[in-house]
Amino acid sequence: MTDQDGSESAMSRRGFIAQSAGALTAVAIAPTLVRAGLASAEPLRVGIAGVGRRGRALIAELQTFEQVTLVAIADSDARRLTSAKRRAPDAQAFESAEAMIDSGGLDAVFVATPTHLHRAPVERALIAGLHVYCEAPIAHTRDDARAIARAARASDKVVQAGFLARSNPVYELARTFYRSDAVRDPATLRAQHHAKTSWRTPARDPKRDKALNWRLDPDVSLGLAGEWGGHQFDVFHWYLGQYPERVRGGGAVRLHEDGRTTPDTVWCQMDFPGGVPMLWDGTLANSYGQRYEVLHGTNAAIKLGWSHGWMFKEADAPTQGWEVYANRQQFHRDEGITLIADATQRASQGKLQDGVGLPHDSLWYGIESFLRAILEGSTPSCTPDEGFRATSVAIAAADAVRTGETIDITPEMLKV
Amino acid sequence: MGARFEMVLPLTGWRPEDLRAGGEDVVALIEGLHRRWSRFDRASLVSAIVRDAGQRVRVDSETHRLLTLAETARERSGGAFAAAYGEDGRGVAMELTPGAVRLPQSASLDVGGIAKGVALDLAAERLQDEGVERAFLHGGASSAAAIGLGPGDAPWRVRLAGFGVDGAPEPEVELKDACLSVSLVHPAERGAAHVIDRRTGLTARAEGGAACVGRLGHAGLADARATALGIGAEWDDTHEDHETAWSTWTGGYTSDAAPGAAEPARETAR
Repeated sequence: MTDQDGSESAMSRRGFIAQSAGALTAVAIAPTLVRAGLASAEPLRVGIAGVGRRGRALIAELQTFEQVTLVAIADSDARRLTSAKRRAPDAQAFESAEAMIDSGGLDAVFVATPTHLHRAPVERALIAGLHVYCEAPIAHTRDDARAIARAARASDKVVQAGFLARSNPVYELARTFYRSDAVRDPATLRAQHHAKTSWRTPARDPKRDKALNWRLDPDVSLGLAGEWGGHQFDVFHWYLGQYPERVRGGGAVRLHEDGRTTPDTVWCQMDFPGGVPMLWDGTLANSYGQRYEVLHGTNAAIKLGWSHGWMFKEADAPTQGWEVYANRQQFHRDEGITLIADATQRASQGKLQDGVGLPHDSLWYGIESFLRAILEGSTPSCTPDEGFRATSVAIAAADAVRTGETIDITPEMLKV
Repeated sequence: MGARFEMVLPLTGWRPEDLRAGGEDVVALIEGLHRRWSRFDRASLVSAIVRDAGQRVRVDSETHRLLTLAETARERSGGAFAAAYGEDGRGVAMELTPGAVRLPQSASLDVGGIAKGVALDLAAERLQDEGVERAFLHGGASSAAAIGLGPGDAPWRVRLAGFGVDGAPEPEVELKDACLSVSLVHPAERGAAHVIDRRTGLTARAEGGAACVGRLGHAGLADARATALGIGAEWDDTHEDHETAWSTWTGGYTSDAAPGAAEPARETAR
């Protein structure tokens, strides 16, 4: 996001990090080094279950990794399979995830089927002894999500949930600031995801329409709050180390009067422990502001826009030495300090400007985390347990929007 | 790609919401390609390839297709068109291997002369994958792709603005399952021509322009071909008559003349 916020004109060439705190060094991640570090391993043979929009994005990102050979793709929709096959001509095409998994010859599977169809391929892949990357939310019901988390616990294979903030270098960097007291006590939390899109997939055949437009099907879809909001709620879970205690919500169809009953505009309000409120809204009717999260603390606010991040300090907050050298950007009357992942190393190489904004999509970092976990034994950025809890909150938010009632998020709901 | 893309999707048996969704899919595709291929975005894949010049860089299949086509265009244009260039501005070869590319040390990469066309090729494929049988798409009003027939069950008609001189009407082309690319420098742009002749590394002296019509799926190559012909370079067509079936218009404005004083447009059917 944030072309309007990300103007390069206000950026300083002075090194943000030249005299910075040690905390910055700890989160440095250099993509080229990561590529080199992983390159010694034998290529993993991977398959993708589900090659719709998300699956196609996975194909494009996976093709940039030396450590991966995409050997199989699966989708029950013939048109999609043909389209994906053109992008991955060396991959064998299957009409179902089950057939792909049962065919053998895989080390890992990326599950990008519709949310309500995650459970079966995840369980089957784990039984087959495969590592699993499962898109998020990991399921549309708490039962399915819990079953996935339990199956993962029972397996010795790597399972990662696709809540991508946890593997995003900008978010990791900003989190070190948040947890180092620079932001101080949280006052309010705010997030939005705005886009002007129908959220529909073209399909003339009614049967195909029902299958492909599952996100508009109230029987199986978590709606905007679950599918989009869930990723952003998890940012707050991760930063605060806490989960909300209750959620209220609502929604309506504001633009897309095409017979859908799933709202195209929704809002949620959550109470985090200590009474910290979180406000979120999502809409398919307007794109202004696009997608971001803001944590307002008593010393500073942090704004996160997936590829970029900024810190806005209060006038009475203590000044740290490195701030003198920081890159800054103007946002109307506010001045933000640009948070640059891998700033220390880039500053030392005179390439600090290269680090403003991430050199890869968030999905790339999620895949990288998964590969690291397999090849190096590290902990995946989002474990199945964390994926379950984030999904459970997303389900509660979807329930609140659908019913208009306040939903208490009990400890039992967060227990695997 | 720095250009506005637009499309026309006739409601031939489609519900409006489905066709809109197909269009949104194309917009998302083109936005994604722009993020990968913009040399002005430090987060783009093209920027990463340039940063790592001299090293092998893995790329996705769509970017590999783009770069492979750029190399084909460099060869067929005798070096007048090149996406990769050295510090002196002259074109250089890229080393393409399956799934990867390596730029020569210190080389740069600018896919601006071919990206719009490739994006249109991919967009047309996406629409056809979804079963769309009629559509017209353009990028920057200089590259276009036409799927099937247009309104009135007739081919899509496109006027070649700037190619009608000396009082002659501007020619129109009819497109059905075809692509079109135009490279033309208007007299008002004299001195600010943005086309670089990669044989010399210098701004090309514009000699009017060229328009190329070929079969659907070749808009990327049409982009490069029109650029090369537009600056007076030769194009080796010997390998591609059967696959592209080019029709070519050359002429139009010249860099030294006002409208009306230039050579009339000429069509060469191949």
